[in-house]
Amino acid sequence: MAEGPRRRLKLVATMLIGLVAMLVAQLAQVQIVDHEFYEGWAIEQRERTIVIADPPRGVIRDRDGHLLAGSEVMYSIEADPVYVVDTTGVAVALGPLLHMPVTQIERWLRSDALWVQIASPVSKETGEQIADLGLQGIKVKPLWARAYPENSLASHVIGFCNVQGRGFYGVEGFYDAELQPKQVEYRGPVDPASEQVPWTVAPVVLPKAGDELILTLDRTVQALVEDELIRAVQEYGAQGGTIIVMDPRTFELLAMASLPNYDPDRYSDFYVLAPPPFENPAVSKLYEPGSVFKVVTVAAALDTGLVTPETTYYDQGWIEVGGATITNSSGEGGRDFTVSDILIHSLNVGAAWLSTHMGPDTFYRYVLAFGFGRPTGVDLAGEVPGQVWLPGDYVHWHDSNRGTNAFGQGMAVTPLQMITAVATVANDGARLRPHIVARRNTPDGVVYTCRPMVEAQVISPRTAHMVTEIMVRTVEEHVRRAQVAGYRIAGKTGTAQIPVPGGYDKEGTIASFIGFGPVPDPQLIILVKLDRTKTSPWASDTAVPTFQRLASQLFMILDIPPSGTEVAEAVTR
Amino acid sequence: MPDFMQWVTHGIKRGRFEMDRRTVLCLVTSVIVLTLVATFYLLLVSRTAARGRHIQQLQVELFRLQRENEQLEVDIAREGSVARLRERAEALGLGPAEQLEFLYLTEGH
Repeated sequence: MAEGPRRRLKLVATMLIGLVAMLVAQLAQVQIVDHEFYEGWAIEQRERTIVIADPPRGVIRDRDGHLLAGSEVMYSIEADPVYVVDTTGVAVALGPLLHMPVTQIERWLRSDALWVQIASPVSKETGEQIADLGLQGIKVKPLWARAYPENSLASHVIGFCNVQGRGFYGVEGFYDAELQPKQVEYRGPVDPASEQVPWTVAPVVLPKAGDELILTLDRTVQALVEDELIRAVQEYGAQGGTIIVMDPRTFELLAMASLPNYDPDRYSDFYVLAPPPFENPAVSKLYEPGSVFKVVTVAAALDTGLVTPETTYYDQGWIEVGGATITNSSGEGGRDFTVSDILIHSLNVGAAWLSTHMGPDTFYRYVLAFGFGRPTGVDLAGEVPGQVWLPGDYVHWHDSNRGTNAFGQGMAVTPLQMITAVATVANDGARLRPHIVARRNTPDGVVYTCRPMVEAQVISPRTAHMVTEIMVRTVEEHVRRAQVAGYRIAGKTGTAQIPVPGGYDKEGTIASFIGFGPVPDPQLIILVKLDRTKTSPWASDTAVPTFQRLASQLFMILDIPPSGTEVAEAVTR
Repeated sequence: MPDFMQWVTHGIKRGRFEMDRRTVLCLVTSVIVLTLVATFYLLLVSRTAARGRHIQQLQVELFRLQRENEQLEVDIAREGSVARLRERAEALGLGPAEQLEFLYLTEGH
């Protein structure tokens, strides 16, 4: 080959090689050096994390499996305006179904937005009607809405769940994390409408609902309790009230009702009330317990061994403690009384004598051991600790508290704390933790069973039996209206004044009664508390008859036989 | 461009392009193998996509059934709620039992 062409060929070849080298270098830059950047960019454009399944919130059932809170289907009506071809036709079709102006919908559909929410939530029926129309560019997206089939039944116990799926108050609030569903997410290629593109076989993930809660609550008992509470509030002109039913052997809550209550299905309607009735008064509202608290004072005194039920003291009708003069509300005095009489006759002077006789250290040690001044630990949202001022508290403590606290004045408790303390007496002196959830079932099949948890052996079984017998005598000799034929009932009334700024309310009282039975094997304990009754200020006229009616029915429906009988079968007529 | 090519190649002797049978065989075999591999790959990808789509549809159906199931449970619970049962019982003329009679065990029973 001639020299000229060879040189030219070399030149061209060199140019080509140089060009290729540049391309290779650029390729190396893109593929190797900047590999991660470009790969990330590419993935970002075609892959995204989307929620492909939104399982429902966990359900709540009563002890027999009846549904108290579940999830129902609602829909969100959305549009991708770009894909809507017949804007007017779609607006005309949607308007009447959604009860919205056609012009408004048409304006949204003509907008430049990539996505428009037309209505949410809409009912299942409406959503399905719209889906059946098959309108192009319109999406009918399913949503979950919390449903409470029993409406207002046990509303304070259950609480409610808002539209964002967050639980508030009651069990919904306390177990919100456990009730939350586990969303199924997908990370992979998606189309412009964020729909999954099946380029690969995605792992099959089954949707997992939130945990299922089985309560200790019995809906039949709850319904009866609510009926009786409504009746009592109406009959005695009370402003409100609370009834708690518990099994003193396990401290399981069988029913808990307060008025005013609400319908959790329509919780947003109740926000306008002042205050909204969402808080559970049984665990969140404090009151001065009054004479019911004498059970604690007498139990403490007997347990120390300082006195026996037969120990006598001279009651002159008044006593001065820390500068405060304490009198008996019944006006009794001027003679000897026994320690038993302090409960039977509800003697304030005797209770104050016992607490001063014990000394503050011993007395308050028992008060705290019975669970006052701290939350009971019940699994309900919003529980408050109550108020018990101790001698070391130089800000709030007053020496007269030693006397007034003995009969339940100058301190504040929740109804649940009070029934827990008396249930301790019914349970041979052992205080357990009250609870509302019996079982929690996870979607993976793991079952958590809530067993009775002993908090403290507050008093000896012997003392508990002595106090129980005195409480039985109280009912048999002094509060006969609480008796239920065939059943030995132990109980104590409490008529408490209501503290207001500067002293106590002159008119209103809080009437309460706590009773349990059948003695000697108590299976039920009931607290009835009525606020500011109009017909009578005394618990014996209001709370006691309510207890009696309720206990009679509950013994019947719970198949609890009369005291000391062996039952072959029961016949109702 | 032809001028440029002529400028580059003029004076270079054109050779005859010849291949022996063995080379041809290798080439054809390679093409066939590549085609088979490509076909198999396409088949695999399309089957994967189809399977993925099927699973996706099954999941959609599963979620739909779960929604139906939850809805039915709520509907049933509403029908069997205490208030509804009471209404129906009252309509049938039923009322709460007023007295419970216990039969006491006697000897021999």
